[in-house]
Amino acid sequence: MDADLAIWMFPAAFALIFAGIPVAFSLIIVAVIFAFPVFGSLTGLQLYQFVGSVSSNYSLAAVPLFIFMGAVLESSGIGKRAFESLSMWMGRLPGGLAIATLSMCTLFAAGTGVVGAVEVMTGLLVMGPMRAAGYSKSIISGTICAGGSLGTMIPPSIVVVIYASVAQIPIGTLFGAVLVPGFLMVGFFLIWIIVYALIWPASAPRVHFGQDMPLGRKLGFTAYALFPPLVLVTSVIGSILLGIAAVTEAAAIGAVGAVLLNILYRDFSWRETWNATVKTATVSSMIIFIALGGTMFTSIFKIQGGAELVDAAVSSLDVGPAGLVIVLLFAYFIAGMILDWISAVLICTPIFLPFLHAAGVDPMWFGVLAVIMLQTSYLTPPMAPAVFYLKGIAPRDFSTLAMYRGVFPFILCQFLTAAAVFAFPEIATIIPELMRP
Amino acid sequence: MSHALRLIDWLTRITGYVAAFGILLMIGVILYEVTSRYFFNAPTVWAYDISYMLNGTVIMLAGALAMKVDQHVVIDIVSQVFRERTKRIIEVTVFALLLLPALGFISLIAWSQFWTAYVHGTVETVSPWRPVLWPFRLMIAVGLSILWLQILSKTLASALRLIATPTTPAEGH
Amino acid sequence: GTTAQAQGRSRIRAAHIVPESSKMYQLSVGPFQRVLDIVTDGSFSFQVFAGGTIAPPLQTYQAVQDGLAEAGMVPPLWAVNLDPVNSLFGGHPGGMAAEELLNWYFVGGGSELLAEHRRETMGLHSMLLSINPSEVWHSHKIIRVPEDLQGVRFRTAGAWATILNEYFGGAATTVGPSEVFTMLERRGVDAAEWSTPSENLIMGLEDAAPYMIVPGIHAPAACLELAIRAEVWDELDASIQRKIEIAAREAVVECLTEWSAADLTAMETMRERGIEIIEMDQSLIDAIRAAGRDWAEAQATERAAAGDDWMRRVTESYYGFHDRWQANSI
Ligand code: NA
Ligand code: NA
Repeated sequence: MDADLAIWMFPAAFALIFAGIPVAFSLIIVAVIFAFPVFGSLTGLQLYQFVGSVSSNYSLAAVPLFIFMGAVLESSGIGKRAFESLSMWMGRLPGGLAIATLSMCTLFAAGTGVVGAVEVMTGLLVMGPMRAAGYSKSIISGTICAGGSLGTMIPPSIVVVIYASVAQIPIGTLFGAVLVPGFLMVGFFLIWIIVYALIWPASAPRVHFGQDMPLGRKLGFTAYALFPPLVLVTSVIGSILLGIAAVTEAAAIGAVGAVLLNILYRDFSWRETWNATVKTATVSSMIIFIALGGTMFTSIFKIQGGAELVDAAVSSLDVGPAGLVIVLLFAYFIAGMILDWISAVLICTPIFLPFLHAAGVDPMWFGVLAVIMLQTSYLTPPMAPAVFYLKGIAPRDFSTLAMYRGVFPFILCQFLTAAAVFAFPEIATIIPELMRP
Repeated sequence: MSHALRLIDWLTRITGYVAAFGILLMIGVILYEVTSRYFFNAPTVWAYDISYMLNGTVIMLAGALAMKVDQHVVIDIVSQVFRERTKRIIEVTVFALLLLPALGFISLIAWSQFWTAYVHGTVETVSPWRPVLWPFRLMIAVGLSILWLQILSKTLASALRLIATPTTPAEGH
Repeated sequence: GTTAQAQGRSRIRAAHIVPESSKMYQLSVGPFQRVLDIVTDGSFSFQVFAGGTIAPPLQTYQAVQDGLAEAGMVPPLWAVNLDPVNSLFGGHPGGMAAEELLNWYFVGGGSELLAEHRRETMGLHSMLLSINPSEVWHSHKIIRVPEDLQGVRFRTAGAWATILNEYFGGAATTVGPSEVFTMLERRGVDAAEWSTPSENLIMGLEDAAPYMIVPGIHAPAACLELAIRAEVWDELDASIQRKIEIAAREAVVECLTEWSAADLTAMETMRERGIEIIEMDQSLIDAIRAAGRDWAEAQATERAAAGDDWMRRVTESYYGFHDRWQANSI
């Protein structure tokens, strides 16, 4: 239609977002304003259609359920016991406590779909012991932030749910596809921690926890601490991969499983569970309102001629499929620096998809790369939620600069993972292949 | 005035709690479906529709509470350098002139869509179960309206504070 | 403004239901636009928006009626819950296959009934825009005779879901589009219908389950209609109206032939990949035909009792033609 108007939609949205207006409402406001020239008095009706369709999206029902699972685990004593048993075994390695922290993050990343829950719980537990053992502020910050960001790489993950439902690819298959890259990334993180500990042993010393405990008791405590959460985690991912349940259904199984674990371990309290439920409702509402704003924004952007605009821009690049993938991933990275990940997914993905399809790029493979890029958004300044969460729980003498310094090498590890998946697509496709009967 | 604001807060909390109940209900419905399909080979005809309608209800009803507890994502990398007063002026202006009309507009449509569905007894488009749509549309309209009221209450409170605290010498020019 | 301007309209804003990249979009919009461009010398066109742009796909009829778009390119099957006649217009379980349906629309009175029904009940002017050939089933269980459907968890929707449950003791399961592959692959469901072989190939359903069951008699054909808001249509020049009809007719033929060709290739590919093709027994075909007809008759009676004669009229025309075709086609 009128391409001139489409051009102004992004600056308008960014002006509102950076003026401090909530992202969801910024997108809705811009959609309403730019819909008027096309739809006139029917504007409200046109945009209401998307309220109806977003709130009727069955796949999105997985979002509150995965959040609930994390919120319930967060309020339990499971984390404390897991960290104690892990540091008992790993403390004596170089950077042992950081390794135990990362292992715990990996375990809990597999139990929840959101970042904040993993990071805040782990951070509160490990910061004290790590400082007492003499770990540097930068390795503490880096490990907690990077470990927390695994919530989106290790399934289940809200990022995967939202990305897959926007890109219209099977959610369960994308879960399978990010599995190996997720553990590869954990591997890169571990290597960095060990390298760091070997170069600066005083900043990441070995510790000896539970040394005097007899082996039998050690094993018993470990089984008591780790076995049940492992069962929960494998039952959720397992029921998706084995086809007992669709993703949304597996999320419900996990939600009940988390509550059952709390009851079994005598951590259950009605009040905590109710608080977790209310928190889940508001966090889910926030996430899906951004999805709603993004859907409205994209609709009007396309109607105002935005699709042709982007089409012309991408065609003028003339870079070939591999180049196109790199350009689009870079766009996700930049979007993730300044925006939160949901806005990045919802603004970029619908605009990028047609080009990927035209270039014959495997949508599942690209989805994995996009999820990795979105994961960097937690750590990259200026908009770095992982660092913000840490600030909320860290002692005053942790400077933001020290946090960013600690996080930086882990961002490089994420890039390394993306490069590996880019060079060897099998890393992403192997699990979906194996999942086939 | 303060009575009205308190009433809005009360409504916000009630709908938020109803939303939380909705999550528990949704978990129950989905588990019933999984059990019934996997163990008894008898999928229900209604679980799919009920689940997505409950999810939509949760999202819409919790919107106002999310607003009240400042859960909505704000990117403050630029705005953090503004003075507190400047931030407040921007917020009041954008909320009053843009957000309230925009959301109000959509909420009105939500009510009229509910009414249309109620009067015509409109059923779900593709579902074999063919549930009527008006209860779900009602939830959407209620959720949006209470969100609108919550934003109104926030805007009014901010505006009142702006008027009550005159520019301090340090901030004025 | 969005209201039709009587003079000088040269473009109609239309909402499609699928993305630009899909075959359904390309084989319906492609030939339609091309022919319209030729016959109008480029003076009249449709500005077609992909599914989900103007309105969510399932809301397309409503969007046209509300005036958000002036036209919609939309499957009547999505309006079966609204009015059962749409099962007959859109591709009826156990009903006419593509060639037969094409003939019913073009020479058997189908087009006239569709136009009259839409104008009277929905305020739309409608014509056939595309037909695609028979769908298939992908299954973990061999389904040959009616008894084989007993207790089968079958991913489906629409009238076939009802018929499956009520006439065959099946367990119709609703699964969202993004989970069809996953649920079938992991046996969350025993069988699934999605689309024709060439579309199923894109989704990879041949890898999800070992058997393909043909013919997909639950959907022997499926249609899109071009539904234009009546007042917009009425204000067009008679010559433009005629040219739009010609373009739509061309699109129907091109879509059917191109789609059938794609399905032939897809069947070859799937055979090469080792899928086992099971032909259902005539007893199952007959049973589904009978059930589909029985369902239609029952709906007609029910609707007529409520004072709505449309289902009766369309059923009589549809099965009247079907019977003649079955008895006399060579
Ligand atoms: Na996770
Ligand atoms: Na960032």
